[in-house]
Amino acid sequence: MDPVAAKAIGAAIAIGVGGLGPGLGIGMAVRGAMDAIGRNPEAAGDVRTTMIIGAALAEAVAIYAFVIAIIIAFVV
Amino acid sequence: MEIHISVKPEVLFQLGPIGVTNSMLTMFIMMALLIIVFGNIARKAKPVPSRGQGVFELIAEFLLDLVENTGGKKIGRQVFPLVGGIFIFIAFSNYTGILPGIGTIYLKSSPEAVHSTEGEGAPAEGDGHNSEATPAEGAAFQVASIDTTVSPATGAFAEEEHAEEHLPLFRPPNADINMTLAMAVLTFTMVQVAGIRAHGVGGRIKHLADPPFLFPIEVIGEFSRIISLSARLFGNVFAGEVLLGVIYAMVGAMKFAILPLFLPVVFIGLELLFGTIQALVFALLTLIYITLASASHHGDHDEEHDDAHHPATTGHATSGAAD
Amino acid sequence: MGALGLDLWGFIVQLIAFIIFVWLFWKFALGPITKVLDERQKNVRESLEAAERMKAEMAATAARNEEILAEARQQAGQIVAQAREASDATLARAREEAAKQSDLYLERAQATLRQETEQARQQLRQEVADLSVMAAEKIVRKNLDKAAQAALIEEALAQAGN
Repeated sequence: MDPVAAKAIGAAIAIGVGGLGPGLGIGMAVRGAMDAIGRNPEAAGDVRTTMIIGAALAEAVAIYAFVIAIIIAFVV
Repeated sequence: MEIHISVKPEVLFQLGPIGVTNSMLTMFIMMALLIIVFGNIARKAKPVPSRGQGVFELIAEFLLDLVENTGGKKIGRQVFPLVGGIFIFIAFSNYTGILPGIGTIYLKSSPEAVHSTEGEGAPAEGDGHNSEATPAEGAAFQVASIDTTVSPATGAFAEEEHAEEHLPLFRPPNADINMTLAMAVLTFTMVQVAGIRAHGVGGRIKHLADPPFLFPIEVIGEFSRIISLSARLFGNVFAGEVLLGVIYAMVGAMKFAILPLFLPVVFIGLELLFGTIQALVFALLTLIYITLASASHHGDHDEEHDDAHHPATTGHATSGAAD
Repeated sequence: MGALGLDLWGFIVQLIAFIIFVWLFWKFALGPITKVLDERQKNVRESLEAAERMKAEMAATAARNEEILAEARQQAGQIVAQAREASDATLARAREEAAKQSDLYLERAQATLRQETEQARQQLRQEVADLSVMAAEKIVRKNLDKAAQAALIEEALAQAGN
């Protein structure tokens, strides 16, 4: 296989698969937060802040995948 | 479409054994600016705040509330200098990534590569960057040109070969793994120092070896925090840079459309948000790690949760998931 | 690791720079502003406490005023009661005195009346005696008969009786 094509495929798989989990995770986190805000609208501010931090932590996994993809594409 | 992507920061010039990189340069400028601007505000602080003082007080008060609610009055105040410094440095460093000229003002290292592109029908951003650029160290500089004729894939992968020619003068400090690793190592050291100061060396080891067979895993967990903290921040900032670069290139490719010019605005707003969130995450995790390490561990885990208030408990849960 | 751009010297320089930054930033910017915030918090708390104290003081003053007012009202009532009592007593005394006086007057008047009656009676008796003497003289002078004499006396007596 052409090395450039192999790299491109590898990078695409890395970010594609790596983005799945965080996407689901962030979706669940936001759903939970929306439920919480719906039940207790007074706590919306606290819930939002915690949700954003949680989403950022979940998103970090996607970022790891992105870094790996970049390394595959440009460095290796 | 030529997009300049380099995972590692470029060395601008050599100073003894130290290769001064573009991210290092930006870091020094950023630190000096922060200390001068905020120091000036703090020096002229009055009981009735001016507008600048109000902004600084808003940030300081937010952070103070955060550390006191999470770490308690005593520990919170002790870690406040570190947590506050980390938050403000990361937040403002991340904002540098969206400034025009950061990552787009190039130094050309090889003289034969110098050719003027000014007035060559550069895309809309080009004119803005002209006024920003200043000749540095007599080296020729060139405004970023986005060559729209090269096809995306080949351009991106062929770019590697002549990467050495492109030397962006500035690079967001946190898009350099050395910087984020340095901060993570400092955080790790401070966590151990806080743990040892609270319980002594033996107490710290005993805390880590709570069920003794978990001791190796706990130690690995401690060290993995360095990697997760640094990689998270680096990845986010670097990804943001790449994202903005791609968007700018896309907008540059659509030469005769007006609407796409507003597209980067959306992503700049997103980058602002992410910059703040990542700074908050780094600072909060530092705070939580230190709080957990120095909290009393006489009983089970419930006591920890009682010591630290609700942000700590949620943070603890999420940090456990992140490690 | 080199692929990610890890570089020992860069790492060391940035670590030291960051430590110095945190220290300087705390010394010149974050520390002073925290002090300002703490001072403001202290000031606000103190002024709130002072206001609270002032309020308590005002409430105490109001209570004292109320107390004084109540006392004054009570005293006034007492004074009025006393005055009424005094006036009642005076009135009673005056009434008594008046009654006594009127009794006295009445008695005196009665006494005077009695005296005058007595006087009048005496005068009458005297007059009667005078008349009888006059009548006797007449009788003696004219030498009248027994029957005429008797008639004369009768007449005189009738005169006196009237």
